[in-house]
Amino acid sequence: MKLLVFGCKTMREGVLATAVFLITGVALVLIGMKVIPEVWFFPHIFLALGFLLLLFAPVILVSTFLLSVFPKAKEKLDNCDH
Amino acid sequence: MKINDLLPEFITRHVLIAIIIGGFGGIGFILFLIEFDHYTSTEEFCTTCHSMTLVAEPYRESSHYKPRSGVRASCGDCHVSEGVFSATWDHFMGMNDLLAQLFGPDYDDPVINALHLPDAAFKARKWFKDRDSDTCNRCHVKEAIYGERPDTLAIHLEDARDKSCIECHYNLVHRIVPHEKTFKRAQWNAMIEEEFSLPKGTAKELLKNK
Repeated sequence: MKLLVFGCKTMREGVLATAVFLITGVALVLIGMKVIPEVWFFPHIFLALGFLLLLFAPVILVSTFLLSVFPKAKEKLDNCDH
Repeated sequence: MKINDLLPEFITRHVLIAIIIGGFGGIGFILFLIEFDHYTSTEEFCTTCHSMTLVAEPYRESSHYKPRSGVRASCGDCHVSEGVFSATWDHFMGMNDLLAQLFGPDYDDPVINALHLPDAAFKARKWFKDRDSDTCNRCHVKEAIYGERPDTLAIHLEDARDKSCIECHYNLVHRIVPHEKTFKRAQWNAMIEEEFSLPKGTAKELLKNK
């Protein structure tokens, strides 16, 4: 249940996770396209993983945003140290 | 006058920075998705799987690959929807094919591939029908299908007025597969056994062992 308590820390973690997912996703896709040799299905697996990470990045960010606009969460976030 | 004076109160410096970074990040994200969709829609990419090279053989002999006009349709032009979000969704759903390729039957084997082809064809036809053959309409306009016979245009404008392209043109590009309503598995299996000189009953066994 503690996960559901949305505060400054979870807000930062959400934004950070988005950035990590986005950067890792792009990196995996580029690696899958340019670096990995066409052995077995390795390039496809890299591409699929990168693609999934890329798609989840905005999902996390949007969820974080939606949680942050809940009235109670908003009050808490107003007291965050930036 | 400071910039802060021009902005509403709730847009603080941090919010402004977040909007700018998020905005550029969002633009980058969409551009990357467009590039990704474009790359994964090419024939070059699709045929990196051996199973797809088998499917591509008849395509390379088809009028969609060798048209008189020189307008060539690649895999994605027909099998991936238009628009970044629709194309991304199609690629997301297309990951099922990757999973099937990794954990399913050995589609790289020409016999297995041919045996499963009808199921793939029916699935693809349904995909086209559900979208009212949207990807066909990227290039083809019903009102402009004059053809060589005098009644071609009339057929498309009258008889096929409320029909989707795929309802009639379901054997255009890839290996011919009968319509789902008339398809007979036993006959298909016998044809594949004959084509690959396999003993009778092998096809059924191979399908059972998938």
